[in-house]
Amino acid sequence: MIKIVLNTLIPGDKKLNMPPASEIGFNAYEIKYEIKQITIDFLSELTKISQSQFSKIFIELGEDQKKKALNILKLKNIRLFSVFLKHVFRAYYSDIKVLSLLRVGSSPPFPDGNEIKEDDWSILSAVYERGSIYKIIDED
Amino acid sequence: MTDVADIIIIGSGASGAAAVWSLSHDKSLRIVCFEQGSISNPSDYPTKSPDWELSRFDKSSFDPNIRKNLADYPIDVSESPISIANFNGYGGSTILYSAHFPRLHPSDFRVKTLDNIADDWPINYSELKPYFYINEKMMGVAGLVGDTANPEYNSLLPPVPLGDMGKEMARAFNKMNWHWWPSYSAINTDKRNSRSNCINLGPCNIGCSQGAKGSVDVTYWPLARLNGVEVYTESRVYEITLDSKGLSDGVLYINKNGNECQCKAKIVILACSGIGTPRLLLNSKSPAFPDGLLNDNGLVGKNLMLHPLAYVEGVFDKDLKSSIGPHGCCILSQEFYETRPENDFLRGYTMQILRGAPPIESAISGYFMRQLSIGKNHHKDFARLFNHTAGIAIISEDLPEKHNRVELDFENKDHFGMPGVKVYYKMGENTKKILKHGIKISKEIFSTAGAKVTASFAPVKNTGWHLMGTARMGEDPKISVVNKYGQAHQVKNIFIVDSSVFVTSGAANPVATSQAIALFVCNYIRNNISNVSNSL
Repeated sequence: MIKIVLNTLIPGDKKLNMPPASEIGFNAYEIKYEIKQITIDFLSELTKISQSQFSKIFIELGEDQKKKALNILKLKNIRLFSVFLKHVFRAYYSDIKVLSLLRVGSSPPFPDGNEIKEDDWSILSAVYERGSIYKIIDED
Repeated sequence: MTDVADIIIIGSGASGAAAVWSLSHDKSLRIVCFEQGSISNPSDYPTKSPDWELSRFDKSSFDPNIRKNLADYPIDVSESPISIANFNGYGGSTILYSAHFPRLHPSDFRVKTLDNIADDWPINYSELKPYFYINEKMMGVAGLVGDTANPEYNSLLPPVPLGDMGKEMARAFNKMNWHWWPSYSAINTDKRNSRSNCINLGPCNIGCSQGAKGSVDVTYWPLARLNGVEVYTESRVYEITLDSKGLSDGVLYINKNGNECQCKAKIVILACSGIGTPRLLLNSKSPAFPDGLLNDNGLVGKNLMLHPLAYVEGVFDKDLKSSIGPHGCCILSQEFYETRPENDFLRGYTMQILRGAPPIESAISGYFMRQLSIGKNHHKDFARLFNHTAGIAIISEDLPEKHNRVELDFENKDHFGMPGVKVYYKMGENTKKILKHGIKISKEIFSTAGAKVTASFAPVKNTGWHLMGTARMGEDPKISVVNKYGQAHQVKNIFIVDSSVFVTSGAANPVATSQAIALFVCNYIRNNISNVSNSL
């Protein structure tokens, strides 16, 4: 079920070449950051909502129903929803594969660094032309 | 175990490090610095790992209540809209700061005279000027000489690059005919001494593995230690003691093995921050000071100033690679720094332009700001946001008010049983008006730059880095704790060198001014050492 939930939250996007959230190491993240219980609580709530609203388990729901179930959970328990979603974002956007696809700039191991073009300081002409805005104080 | 030093300095952060370096020129002195945290190894900073951003939610969090290291103490912020940010370890909060390094302005020291609010400082800008120069040289400050709002700089390292986002913002300020300038940044833009140059990674505030950021563990400390200064790490001072003459004779502390120890000294200097310094003073009770050391006038811990911040974020259509480069150092504007007759508030603010957020922060804040969806459009939304954003942090002048304070919290104690602190803070009316104005102006800037504003709010909760005013300086012992030399009015061999001594806050990051004060104070101590020492 967790794979389906992850892919409902962050599905893949072929056009942008981004993988679905189920393809990153969410399980390893859960273990490392000791959040297994949060996942269990989230899935359990979602199961209850799916049953009570649609008389089906979550994985049998259509795409719209899945979205609706998630939205109901969000309204019912915003705290649990937010905490779980934050962990999904954290796991996804710290994954090395995702980061390299995003072209985030220099990737570890450093120090390769990122190049930023040299500046042309004539861009400050307008500030110079306006003159001083420094407040001179009589300190005596 | 009793130890004897000439000078004890408590705290190894920005001001403590400047102070030890200054005093260490006299190699005949035995100087011991007490640091409650441990020494970080730059090669262990999380920037070297792909999941570095996760460390912000854990061991590199700037919130001590999240980090919960042994060196951290509880800080209850339930009575404050702003939570406290710090780092307790060798180098103090400079390990995690963004290194934005402007000075206060001359007018900041004269707000009573100029604007008839708060108080003038007993010290003025000209007196600090030589120490600003020394400090900027020691810390390695990048920027550009010739600033029309800050003309006093005479030598700086080459400025941190603007990047495409910085240029877009600069052009917008130009269109509005408003001041902007490349940020004053304690960042090596050239290789200097034994430190590498900045390679524009971005995450300065989880520690800089390159040593390019001027945290004091790589600036002042190596030289101070070469001069013989000793550092006792993982050693928490819990009391400053007095002798029968009413002078301090040293400190009591718990060492890294958990043993209670004493260190005697002729001079005691506090550099524990605007929270840590009042905490230690209030915890040091004696018959002479039953309400806490130096607290005979009830001012220790009072007048806390936090520089409430407003934040405005804009999204550009273009990919500006905005997440690349030192996050907090790009450009600043001090167009609205000084009092203006047309405003409904006194004093003003700095606008600090922040680079774009890294991926996790982009996703989380994007979702909660309703700019990013979950489901099939998630990646499209993310691509529209990431590397397309800029932020403006509005750093407001914060005026001293007695009810804004820190007190000891006996309900929540640290690992060693010393009380934590509770922060009581409310934003003043003047500050609220400043922030409102800053938000309006920032929106105009983004609109001129062609960016869509996606977030604007104040105060920003997790931004209590600038801790000032809790042991203020002044000429009158009735309304201040120390004199202009940081010397306690009531105990002549106790000095305070951190931003606790600020009389007012100015509207710029305080570290440059705080370190200049530390150097000024220590110059006074060096020149008057026999008069300000306990003979023991």
